[in-house]
Amino acid sequence: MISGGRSLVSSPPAFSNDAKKLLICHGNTVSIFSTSTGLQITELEGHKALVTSVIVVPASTPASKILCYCWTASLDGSIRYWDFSVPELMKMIDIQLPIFSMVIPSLFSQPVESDEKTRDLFAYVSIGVNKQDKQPNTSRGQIRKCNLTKSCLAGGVTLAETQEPEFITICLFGKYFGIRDKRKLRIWHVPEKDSERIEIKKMRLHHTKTLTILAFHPTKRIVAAGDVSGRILVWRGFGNRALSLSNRLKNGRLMTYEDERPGVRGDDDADSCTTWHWHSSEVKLLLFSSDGAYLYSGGKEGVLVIWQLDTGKKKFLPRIGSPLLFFINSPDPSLSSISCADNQIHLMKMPSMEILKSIAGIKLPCSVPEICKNSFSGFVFDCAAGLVAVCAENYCIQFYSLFDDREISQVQICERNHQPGDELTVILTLAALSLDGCVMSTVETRLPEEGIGGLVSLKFWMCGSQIKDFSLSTIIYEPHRDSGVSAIAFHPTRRMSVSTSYGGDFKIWVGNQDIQQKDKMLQKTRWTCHAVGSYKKKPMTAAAFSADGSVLAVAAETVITLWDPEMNVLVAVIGDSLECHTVQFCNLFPIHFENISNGLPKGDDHQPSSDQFMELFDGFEAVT
Amino acid sequence: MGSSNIRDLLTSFSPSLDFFAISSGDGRIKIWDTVKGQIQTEFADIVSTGGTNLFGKPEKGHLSVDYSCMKWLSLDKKKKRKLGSSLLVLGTGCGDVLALDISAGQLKWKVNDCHPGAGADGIVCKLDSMTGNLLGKFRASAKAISSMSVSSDGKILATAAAQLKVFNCSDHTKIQKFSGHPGSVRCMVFTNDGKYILSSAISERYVALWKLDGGKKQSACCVLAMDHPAVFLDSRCVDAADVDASGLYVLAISEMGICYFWYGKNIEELRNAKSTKLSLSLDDQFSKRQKIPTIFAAKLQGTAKLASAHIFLAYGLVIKPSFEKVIVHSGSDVKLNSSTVGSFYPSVSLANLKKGQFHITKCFLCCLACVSQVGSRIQMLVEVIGYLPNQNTNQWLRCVEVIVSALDRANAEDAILPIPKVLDFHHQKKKHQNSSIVTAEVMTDDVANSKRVAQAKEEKAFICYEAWSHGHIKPNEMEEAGHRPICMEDRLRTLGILDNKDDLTSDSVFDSMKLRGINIEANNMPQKKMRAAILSMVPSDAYKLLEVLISRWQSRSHSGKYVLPWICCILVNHGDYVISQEPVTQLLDSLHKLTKSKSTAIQSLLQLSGRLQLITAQIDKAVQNEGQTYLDDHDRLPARPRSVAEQMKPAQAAEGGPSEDGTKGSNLPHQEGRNRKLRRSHVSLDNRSDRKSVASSKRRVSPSRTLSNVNLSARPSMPRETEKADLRDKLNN
Repeated sequence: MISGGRSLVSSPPAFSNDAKKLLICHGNTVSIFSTSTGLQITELEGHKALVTSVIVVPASTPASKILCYCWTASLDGSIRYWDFSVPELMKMIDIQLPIFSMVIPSLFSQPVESDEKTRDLFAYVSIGVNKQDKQPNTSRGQIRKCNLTKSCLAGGVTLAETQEPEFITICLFGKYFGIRDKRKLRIWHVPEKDSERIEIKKMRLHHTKTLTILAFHPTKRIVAAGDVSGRILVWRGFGNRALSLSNRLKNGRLMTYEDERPGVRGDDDADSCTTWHWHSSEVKLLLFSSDGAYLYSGGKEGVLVIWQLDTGKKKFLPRIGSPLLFFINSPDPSLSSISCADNQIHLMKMPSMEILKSIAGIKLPCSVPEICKNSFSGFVFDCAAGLVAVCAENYCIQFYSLFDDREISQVQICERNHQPGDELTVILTLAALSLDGCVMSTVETRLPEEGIGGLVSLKFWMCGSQIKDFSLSTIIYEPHRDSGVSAIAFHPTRRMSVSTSYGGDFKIWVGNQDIQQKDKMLQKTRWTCHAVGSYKKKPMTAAAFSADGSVLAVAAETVITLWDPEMNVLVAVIGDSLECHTVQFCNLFPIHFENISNGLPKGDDHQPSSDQFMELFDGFEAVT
Repeated sequence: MGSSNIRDLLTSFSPSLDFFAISSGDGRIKIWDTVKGQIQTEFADIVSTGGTNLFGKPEKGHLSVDYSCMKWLSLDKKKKRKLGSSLLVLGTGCGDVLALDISAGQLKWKVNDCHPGAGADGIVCKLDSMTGNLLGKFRASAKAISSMSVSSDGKILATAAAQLKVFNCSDHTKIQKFSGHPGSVRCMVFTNDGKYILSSAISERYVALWKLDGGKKQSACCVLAMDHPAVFLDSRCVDAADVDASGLYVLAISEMGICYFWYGKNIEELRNAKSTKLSLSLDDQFSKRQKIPTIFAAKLQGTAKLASAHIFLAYGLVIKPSFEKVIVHSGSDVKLNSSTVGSFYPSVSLANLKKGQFHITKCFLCCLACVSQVGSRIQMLVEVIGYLPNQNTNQWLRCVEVIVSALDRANAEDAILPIPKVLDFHHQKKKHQNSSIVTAEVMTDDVANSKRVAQAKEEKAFICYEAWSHGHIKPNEMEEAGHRPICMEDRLRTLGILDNKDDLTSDSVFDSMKLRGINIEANNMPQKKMRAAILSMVPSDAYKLLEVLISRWQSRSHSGKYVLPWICCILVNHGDYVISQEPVTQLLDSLHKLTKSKSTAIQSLLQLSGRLQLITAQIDKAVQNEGQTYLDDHDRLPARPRSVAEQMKPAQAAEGGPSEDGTKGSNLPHQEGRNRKLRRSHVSLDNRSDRKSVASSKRRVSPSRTLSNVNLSARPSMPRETEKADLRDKLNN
């Protein structure tokens, strides 16, 4: 069994110090991609569960920029230290609790000339602790401190407990880190000389809505947070009292401030709070630019918004095509990366915001509204080339190589722009590939608006080469009148396919070669209807050809009808109403004629060749 | 643009065949993604990048680099699929060696002046592939080395100038030397088992095979002939242990871009092997100015089965190579279609456009769409032509050529409708005693349904396909039953629903048995001859003939015009015998009924013809009153209606007389006439189809039935209706 198709966007990636490499949490491994070519260079293998955090050890001096060390944390409860140029595992710390997020503030802090030679390195981890009460599977989140030098959790230090494990956000120079906890932010100030038992100053900021993300300003004491309604709140001068300044300022001076704090809720410790509202839904991405002049935000709309921090003016980068998840600055000011929900990472040239390279993973199967649910699972296999065709959300079918674990091509099925968050009007309901992978058939359904205007169309696509550059050959509008298509199957050897409909008929389509001689040689295959059949007007729910193509089996609600596809003759009817009641039966429709007539269609009668693919895709689903 | 001559090309596949590096002598290296068919990276001016300047912009100076050789190395044998473990090593004309990490997109190492004077000194250097450090060097030849190869196990090194020399890698001792190439060797490769060396020299039209056995024999053990000198060689030797595909497979690409493939089970067989050629089929579209697409790189990927191999090819134009994996069987030449994507078209279609459009400097797209409608089928032709801003060459780039045919709702007009067949239940009954109850039930159901068809002609009655519980049936029996379907008609006949008398009407019986050579349709048979023929018959035979004739008349397979004189003749001459048979057969009675019904039908027609005569007479009168000037016409005019009326009668007779429509429509002669006309038009429309469709069309126009307005949209029910009509048609007969 091979596995692949893991998510590239489960956690934020990290740039190497010279900005030539991008470290991406990729399932159980960390994959290192070149930013100049977009190709994978190597990967760090060792974790046994999803890697949740990767932190590149920053270079303190220009000379050490070539150093390639990183820390990774995973759900398997281990923290590992790597030299990723070789790549080689240097150190492993097992804390035996799943780590959902990790920050190491002291890595980023300005180098302090310290008399002590070795200071312990502390990490703050967000771990999942099993609840003691009834539900054993749900875990509570805890923020704990971990001594990386001594390879153990700092005893007795639990900074916070949350309902769920939270993502820890850290400021650029490691002074503060914080989490969102429902409607409040919890911020900690990292002491300059960290030790195991030191008291960590903390504070809270409150909001009326559930917060989703926070970001720290790189230099000033400014924190920004996004909430579920799409608002962005910017607190300036937080923590005067509770964190750093409380030692130095006198209480009397502080009291004078309290009257003039616009926007700050209650007695929250901040100078002012401004609210920006552009996003229509939850803010998923929030980051300050490295110089602190801008704030980037993004969400479901797939639009990156650049806020000028002082004025609140906006610039936009639209048409990224998918909901945005993470945005990462690189040490090179002209390069940054943006992670999208469609399992893609774009490398962007910064001031101009143009996409240089894209690292694409397998597309997630799109969510289909309930009305169009049928037996189609959202993917088909091309056994000849070892590909899987996945229906993506943007009206495309992605061909993904199972053996190379990478995208081959995308075929745009509907002539339609995809904007994430738009209401779906066209749904790709079915797709099928011929056995040799040269013909693809797709069904798209235009959803009726207020009961009118629904349209089903069947398309046949042909391709000649390995690259799967399918071109449209034939489009059939309303192939079965007003009823929807329930299944498509291809003849194993000939250019023939069958489509069945809920309206009670099936049609056999054949591809005819058309040769046109108009100063150019054109050979196109045109698909026409060869035969129509129906059985007692019963809804036809599934179809399959026998391995030699001599028998066509069509499931008509409760029975299976067997036809001679060539002559369109009903050969036999098998099955009774008790055994094959559901559409589920049709999914397991055996390919071999013998199996059908056995009347035991409950077993896993996959063809041997597709067997491994099925297993494989289970793996795919598990991760993505 | 690089040179079109593939001699000057440097090409290399990555170890996993994912990528393809090509350099056409201009200092640029292009990396193509063979899986996607897209360009992945382009390296220009590598020498000045890298080093300490991390974010510096590369300077443009790519022409200063002159690459002379290229090889893609795999560093880690275990992880073949990981791209990070491979290096593209390049040699330059000035003696430098550099290694590129393709996936990282950067220079890995560079050795300056490794070979001063581009290896003319005949020295072989050994470098560490990870770091580029010089590990050792030795002088292999007094002359400049033109080609070099290392065996797959890394133990043997072969160098070639004009003379081939084989060295032990570890201690640089000479193992063997071969001489025989007159010129310097261009390409040389070890077989993967290290037993043979393949080589080909410049301007030699053959590939030589040398056996590495340490012997003194210096001549080639095998020579494979080619039409043009080879530029690339590859081979695969499968051990004899693998019985399926053992043998030697040799691949070569000639200067002309044609790929040659040889196979032999052993050296002797290879010696006599004929080459299999892989070439590109050239379209006429490429004029002589154009660069000819060629195969410029190939790799033997593996052996499929005996004497055939998977070959991964890069072909087409150098600016846009295509990649394909082909299976080549020894002995069958392969022609590849060259892709026209990205190629430049000559200015053929230039005349089609006006001068004004040449001002456009940017690329524009001209979309010609012509939509022709053939019946319900719409064919769309969309051609997109892009115009290149190159004014001097006036070349056209055809970007997309799409023909999409579109079908609308009426997509199944020509489709085959299902042929009604049911299974023989008697047969099954015998076979499956345990399931007899089920089948019996089915049978009665079936019979009941059929009877309803026969008697009441109900709309709902249709032949239902019933089957038995599949639990009782074993697969093999199932298949057996499935392959022995029985015609609907036979089935009905065995059930006694269809009259066996129908057999009489079948042509074969009619012709051979009953008519005894009498040609009914002979037009002008004199009365005497007819009488003589009838009289010569035995009365019983004549009676049988009468039966046949009556049934023919009834079924309208022969018109009354021909049948009636015969019937008349038989009745006159064998009247006694017919009357004696009458109590048994009721034949005369049915004849009487038939003639009666026909006469009622004809009555209305006679009325109509009478009225028509009246009208024509009145018209005649009116015309006569008009004047004398058109006297000639007047003479002719009265004759015309009469002739029409005369012709009408035989026409009606030829129609055979409407059986049921006529009786019903007797009060409405006009409508009747229209109906018939309608029917006829339908018949002519459907004349290509069989009787079944005629029947169904007749049903459609029949005014007396509710189903007459058959909704065309109710497609799925069509087969059943046709079948019903068919049944009724038969039953009516």
